[in-house]
Amino acid sequence: MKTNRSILRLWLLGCLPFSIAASDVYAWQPPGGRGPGRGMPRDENRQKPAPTEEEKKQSTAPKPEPQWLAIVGGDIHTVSREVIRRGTILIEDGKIKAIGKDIEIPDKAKRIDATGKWITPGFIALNMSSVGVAGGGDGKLSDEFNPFDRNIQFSLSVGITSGAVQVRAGGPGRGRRGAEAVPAMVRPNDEFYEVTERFPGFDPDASELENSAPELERRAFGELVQLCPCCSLPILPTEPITPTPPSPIVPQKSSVIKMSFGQLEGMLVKEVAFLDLTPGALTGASNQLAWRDQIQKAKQYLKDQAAHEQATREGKKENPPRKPVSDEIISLVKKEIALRIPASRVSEMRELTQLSRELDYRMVIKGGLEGWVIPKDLAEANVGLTITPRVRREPRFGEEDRSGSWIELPRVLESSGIPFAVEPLEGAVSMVGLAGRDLMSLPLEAAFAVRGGASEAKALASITLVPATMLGLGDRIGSLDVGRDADLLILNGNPLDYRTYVETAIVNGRPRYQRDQDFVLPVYDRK
Amino acid sequence: MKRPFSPFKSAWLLLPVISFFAESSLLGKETIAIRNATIHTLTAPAPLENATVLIEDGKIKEVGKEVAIPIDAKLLDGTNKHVTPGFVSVFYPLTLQRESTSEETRTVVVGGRTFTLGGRAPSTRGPLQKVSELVREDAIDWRPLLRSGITTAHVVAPGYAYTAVVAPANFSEENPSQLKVVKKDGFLAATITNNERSLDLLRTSLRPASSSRGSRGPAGTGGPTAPSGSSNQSGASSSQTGGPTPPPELSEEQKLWAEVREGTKPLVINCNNAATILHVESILKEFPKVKVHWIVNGSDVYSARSSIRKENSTVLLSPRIDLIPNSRLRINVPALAASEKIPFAISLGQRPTDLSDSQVSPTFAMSILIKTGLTEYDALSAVTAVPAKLLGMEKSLGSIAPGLQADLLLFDGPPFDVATEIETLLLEGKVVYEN
Repeated sequence: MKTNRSILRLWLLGCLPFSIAASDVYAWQPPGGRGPGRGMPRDENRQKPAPTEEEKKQSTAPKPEPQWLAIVGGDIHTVSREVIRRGTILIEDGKIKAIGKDIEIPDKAKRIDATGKWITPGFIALNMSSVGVAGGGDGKLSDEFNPFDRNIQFSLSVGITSGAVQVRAGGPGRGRRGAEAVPAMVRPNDEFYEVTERFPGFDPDASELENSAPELERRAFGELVQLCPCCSLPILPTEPITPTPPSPIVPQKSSVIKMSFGQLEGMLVKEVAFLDLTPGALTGASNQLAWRDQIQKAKQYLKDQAAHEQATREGKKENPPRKPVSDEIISLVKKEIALRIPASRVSEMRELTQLSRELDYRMVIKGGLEGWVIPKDLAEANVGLTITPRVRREPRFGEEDRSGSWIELPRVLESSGIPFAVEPLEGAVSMVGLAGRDLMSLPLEAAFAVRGGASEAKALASITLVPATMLGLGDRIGSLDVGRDADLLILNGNPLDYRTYVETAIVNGRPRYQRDQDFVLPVYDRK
Repeated sequence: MKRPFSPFKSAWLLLPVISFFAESSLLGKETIAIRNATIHTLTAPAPLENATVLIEDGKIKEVGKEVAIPIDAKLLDGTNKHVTPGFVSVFYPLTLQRESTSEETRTVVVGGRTFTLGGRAPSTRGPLQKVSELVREDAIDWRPLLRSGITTAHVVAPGYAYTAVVAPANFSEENPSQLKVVKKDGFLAATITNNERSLDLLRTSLRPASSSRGSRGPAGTGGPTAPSGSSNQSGASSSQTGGPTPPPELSEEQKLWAEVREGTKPLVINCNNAATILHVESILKEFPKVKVHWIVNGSDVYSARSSIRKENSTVLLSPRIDLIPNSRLRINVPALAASEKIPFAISLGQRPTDLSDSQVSPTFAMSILIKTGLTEYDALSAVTAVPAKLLGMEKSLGSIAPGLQADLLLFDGPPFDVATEIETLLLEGKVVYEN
């Protein structure tokens, strides 16, 4: 026993230097980790939580003192206006209070020195998945947020401060989700709906085999056997074929979520980002007919509802009008959200733009590879494009001059005044596979738009203000201006340069990512 | 003053002593005194050196430096030894025997439509499992627990349960797993994650019963069944005018939740990630009185610590050094909690590996926490006095003071030296374990 103990003591003594820090230092640092005096002062929220407690008390107090943060000395790329050299941004309670050159900073404001740094709005990704949301989208979305998701930090590390996160994958429903999704209201790309609408007499529940009476029958081994009407051979009994209705197709759903790492409040910006349709959902005469019908119904519903509200205000008692279409279509007609549909061929895009002009809704075409062929049509219809400049497609045979992808698509779009947003090749954060395909290459994807002839300002707008406008949130995010949300980045250079790192990402007025402390990207200074 | 030795007289003198001995042995009264020991009373920050603790009838009778030891007391020499209260496992997970409830669902297709039959609706929760009713009498093998110094366990069943405090009963090597429920009425405990289903358990249960009664329909009172907006006013006016509405019939479960809502009893929340802490705290903004005992990972506490309301929360940590999430940095979360004044307790026995037979030193894990910044007093009270207070049993457990139950550990050295062992363990004044 004695020897055992002494061995244990010795072993522990040996272990202590490795596992144990000084008595009042709680975090043990590996050699070469973070050094003292590197980078900027740490965000108050993560280093010492005491101020947040005070802040909570202040918020309950009758006259709360606002939280100020001042970013001083950086070159401010506002996107919506001109660049302010060596300017100051004053943030009050998560919103931009003042922006410009000579701004009085309250004494109590925290200061971040950004001399020599770039300041841009936070980037917005239109196509994200598996970032910040834990579950499968079965329940209430805001209950499934995970503000401590590592992917949020990854997104912040490249500057993405908000985005349309896919919270429900599209496709046919399965299991409980499918059962729940049996549409009380028909959806535009619901095959089942289309079949019954197009053929009113068709009842998919009834078996056609049962209805057709057998013309000939004979007894074989005491059993009734049907005979083939043409060759009189017996038809062997098989399992009855019943046409099962196709499972309802659940449209993909994405929500606008802010990457406020570590904070739940303010994370959900908009529950529905787009009305997403599958490629080809609006091609073909019958599909378009059904779509027109849906839009008309939605418009009629809005009118009926306005009349109903008027009537109730006057004191009449009426039943409210029944919703004929899904909520998404109604908010599309209200122009609260835009329609997003993938299309790349000229003919498809022409049809879509005609429909959108005729039915009057906002539309975003995803892909749009051949957009350089018809810039006029696109500009007149006032549609937006989300492009991925690195995607290539071979032209069709015989149409080499007016099909396929062209690297100068961004230049053509810019010169025609068509707003375009840039998306990376993949919407997820991926640590495997090909580097540069995933969400973490968003600013570099925008740099490829510059390679294709777009100006740097437009390329920066294509990942900030343009996507914000497509989401209908242009008055909140995507640019730096008084009254906007304080979502901004402090970068050590041009965001479109591969050498540039995001030093600090500020979401809702609080630093949520700091390069020198969050161990996402390498920490060193370039010479 | 010398007198001749008189055997008669001395015999007379001895007689009452003998009779007392006989009586006490018949009634099971046993007096034990631990002498010359360093006693960690936990009623004061510093331990008592060279002190004596006197145990009579299963309870501590006296503790101090000058304690008169009765002549019949059984003596335990405590020279160079340390006495601490028995440890309280503030979270001891135990799966109960479930009643056979049919939770399986069947899927039936009728006319091309899919129906799900049986089972529970997806939004409802399981039945409340009462530990005091469902726990088997031999559910816990006490030997590894006692080896680790745990003399009392707060049993929390997984899922949704009403906890209870148990202790060994009639412990001996032949009867190692008998338990008795020391405290039947524990706390409501729920496992909660960040999804709608489990957060709704909190939301619906915490809401006052009157509003849920209104929404469910059967309003037994004769009062007007007005919509919720005007119900408050009408209810108030009817009570003022003298039509006393009978108080709504609360189910037992609703009463328990009402206690939680009023803050008279805490809610034990077992949450498996840091996000859940934020979700729960944002729900609890509506219910500021609710007290919560968090069963959490240290690293989750580290992430979400700025969101934990310090005044109404206690974190139940496991005794280990954690990693700061997504990094290689190590963090002593109990020491951090102590310095940031987040109330905490250390839950021993949470994992079976903590109790494994090979564990030579029961306080090994704790001693690492002490070496990296936790004070010895904080550490010891985090496994004794603090849990006893959390469980509302500070009058019988958790410290060494007259009148308290004599669950004592006698260590053969400083209790948090890495090579110290438990030499003797007393359960209610009886020596049940000797190394």
